Amino acid sequence: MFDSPLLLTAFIGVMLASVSTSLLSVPVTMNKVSFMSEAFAHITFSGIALALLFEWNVTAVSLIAVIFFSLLISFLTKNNRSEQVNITMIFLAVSMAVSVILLSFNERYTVDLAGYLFGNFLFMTPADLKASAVLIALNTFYLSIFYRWLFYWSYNPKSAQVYGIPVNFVYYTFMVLIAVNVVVTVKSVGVILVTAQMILPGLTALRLVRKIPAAAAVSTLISLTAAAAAFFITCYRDLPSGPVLVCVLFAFFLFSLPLRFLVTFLRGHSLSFGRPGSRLRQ
Amino acid sequence: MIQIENLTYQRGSRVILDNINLKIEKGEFVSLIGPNGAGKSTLMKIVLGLLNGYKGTVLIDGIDHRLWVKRHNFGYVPQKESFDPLFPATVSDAVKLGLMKRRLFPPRDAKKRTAAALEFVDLCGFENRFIGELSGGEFQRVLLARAVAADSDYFFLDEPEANVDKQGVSRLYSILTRLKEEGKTVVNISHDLQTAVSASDTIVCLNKTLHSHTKPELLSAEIVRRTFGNAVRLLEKDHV
Repeated sequence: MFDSPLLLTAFIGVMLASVSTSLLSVPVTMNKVSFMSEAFAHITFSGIALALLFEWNVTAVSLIAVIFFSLLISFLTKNNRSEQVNITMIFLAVSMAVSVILLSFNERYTVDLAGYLFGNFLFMTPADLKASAVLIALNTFYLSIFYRWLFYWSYNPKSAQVYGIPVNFVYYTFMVLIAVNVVVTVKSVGVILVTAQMILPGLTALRLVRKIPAAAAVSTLISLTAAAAAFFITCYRDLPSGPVLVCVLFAFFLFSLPLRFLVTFLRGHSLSFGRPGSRLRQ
Repeated sequence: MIQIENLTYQRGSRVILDNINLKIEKGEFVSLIGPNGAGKSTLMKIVLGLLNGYKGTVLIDGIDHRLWVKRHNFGYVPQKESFDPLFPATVSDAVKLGLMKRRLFPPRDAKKRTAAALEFVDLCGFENRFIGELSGGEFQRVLLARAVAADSDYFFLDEPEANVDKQGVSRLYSILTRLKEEGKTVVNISHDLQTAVSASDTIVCLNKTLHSHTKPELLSAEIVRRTFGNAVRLLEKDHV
């Protein structure tokens, strides 16, 4: 199978993209900001539509668009997390509307559109492999240096600020990092499904292990295994790659449910990580 | 020493604090009392540099409080600290936040300092417990341990007795008294008048303006009534 350079590139590309998103998956899940990645994916689609219309570089245009709008959304919502969802959803809808309008000017769009919407491993190019490798390095650097700041910001931004964590820096950089990861991952799973790849590995890992570094390792393992499985299923069954990857990741999640019961039983703890009936502290 | 001079804070047309002048000496245990909406938490937030847009001067140890807050550690126990009970933070993680000022990583002796802070608040052996598993009183002591770990001369507490049972409150105040005995300055917002009066060196009665700044034994029922309004008729002299 790997005699074909196209397939080899696709395989390496999807594995690299899996590693990069899985590294961010745990903090994204912990922060409950998966809707941000959804919005960034739709903004990426606007960039793709614009690039296709004017025959510009798709990745470059998407990257500029998504970084600009991620900073704008972060600025508009940084002091009001309850408004964050509403404002983000407005940008999501508007960017999708703009994408459709832009695409309506382009008669050739049907050729590429399905691939960008639902992902296609075969879209991967050697340049994408380099971009994914750089992104893994960037994610690893960011998480290893700023892990504690991100952790305390996720726990409670106000308390983190009181004790000297630069919460604005953490917020803006984390949002930009999510945005950049979305742009690079879009080719493997598509605009519609990228959020699933962003949250499912982390969510599954956090159901199995409590400590964040361990969860990041489990998340990466799950993501890599799912990507490899999805790649082979796609090749042998001639199925759409993005949806297959999401379904495999979801299968892992379903498998984690009974496994969590087993893990907690073996640990001798109650099933809930919090006290029974505990609610969000107000 | 904390010096507040001519401090006025307005939110829109509503005056929250009106021309407050207050001096808190080093090593003093000061309790701020007043009804809900009196501006107690606002005053504390301004001192800690968490609120802008006020008029007046706030100095800590002779320098502007915002500069002081940037340079120095201080202990802070908020009225409420919301978090997801499933958030995977242990007691040790929560306490170590107090050691993170201007740092990317906790200091080398973080483990030792965390254990010492937990011992100070009688929570030995709680290091690896998840914070979502704690009772209200235990969590409040974790917040206090975090403040202790910060190793500052100043402690700011915003109604630490909220959501804590009576036994928990007396345990909390005995810890605060120990802090005062170690020469720390404690600024405490309280609704528990009796406990605050018995533990404090100075009582500050606040309701938009400063009604009184006096020793507990000089606090009269009249001052309390002026501060709280008619709502506290029951708190007559023998109760204070």
